[in-house]
Amino acid sequence: MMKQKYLKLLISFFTLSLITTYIHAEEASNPIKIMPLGDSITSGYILADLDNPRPLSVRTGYRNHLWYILNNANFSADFVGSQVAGQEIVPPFDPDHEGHRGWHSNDIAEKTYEYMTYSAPDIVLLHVGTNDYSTSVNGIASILNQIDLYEQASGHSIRVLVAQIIDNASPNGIIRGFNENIQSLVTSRILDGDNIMLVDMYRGAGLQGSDYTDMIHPNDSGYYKIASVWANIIMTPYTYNPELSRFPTTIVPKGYIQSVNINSSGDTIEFITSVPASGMTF
Amino acid sequence: MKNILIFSIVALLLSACGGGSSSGNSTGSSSLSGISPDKGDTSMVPNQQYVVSKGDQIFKESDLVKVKITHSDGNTQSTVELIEGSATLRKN
Repeated sequence: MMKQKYLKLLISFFTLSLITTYIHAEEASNPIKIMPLGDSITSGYILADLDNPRPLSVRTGYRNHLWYILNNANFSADFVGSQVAGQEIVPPFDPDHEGHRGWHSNDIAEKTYEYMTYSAPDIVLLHVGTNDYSTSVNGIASILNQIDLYEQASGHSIRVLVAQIIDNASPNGIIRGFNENIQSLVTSRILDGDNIMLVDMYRGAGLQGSDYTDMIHPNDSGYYKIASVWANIIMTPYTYNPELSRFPTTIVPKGYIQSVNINSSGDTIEFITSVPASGMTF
Repeated sequence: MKNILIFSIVALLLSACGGGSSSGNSTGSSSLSGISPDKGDTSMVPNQQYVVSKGDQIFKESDLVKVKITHSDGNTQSTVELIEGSATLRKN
């Protein structure tokens, strides 16, 4: 009897080991395609490059730190994009990206469909708007629309992580307003079933004045903080659940809902809403 | 004449019955939400989490009421937290 019990245990252990090995092998053979999409904060350009330009091969932004964090956690990633920068950095990392220095969100929107077609990413890290100098998020909406169009045409689903962008080295009211509007935009689109997530880089990354190399661009410690926020979300196993996105509007009309957050794993939704005059029924 | 007298007495009695004081309804809910208080009603306390199920209701007790709702996939219950204003929770 005891022998049988030990045999069963041994078989279970062996099966589990096989499954685990298979999962790791699958992950390694199918790395997650991640597109860092944005402006100079993604490409790694800093204001000092204006007078003494460094070669592209040493510009990294947050991307090298993100790669190192993912790599150390054995998370298999493939950074994708039509641009290459940072290939001479040691330790080496995947230098592909879609960061375009000085670009406004509308500039990026015009090219988004092309970028998605070129790289077919699984995840897009969207940090854009610093060059807009406006609280309008129409450009962000256009980028998301273009991604939706690509998804419909290709049948390939993309998870978009939309950042509330980092502040300047000194607090900037326009960026604060822009980020508030990003929250409204993302809330509205989640309720409509869009597979996107709001990422609070504005407060969540916790950048201080000492984390900047100039008025706009972080230094290495700042970029590490940004990379850590992205990495935590990317590495959390996630399942897209449209039912969960629709849950708030089963209780209260969309116009009353002020913010929506779905957690990193996609299984819990949290939303803030005002209560209609007629009340609300669960 | 007799009929008129009977009608007048009945009318007087009916109007006297409907004129009770409203002191028993001090929550103010009827003025905002139009609901009558129920034995199962709970006056919500700010920043306290309440577990709610299908059919439970929230009614406003002030003009502006904000709540935070958390719901997990596959769960039949949610949690509600009063953020702003005052409200009543009625369990189903």
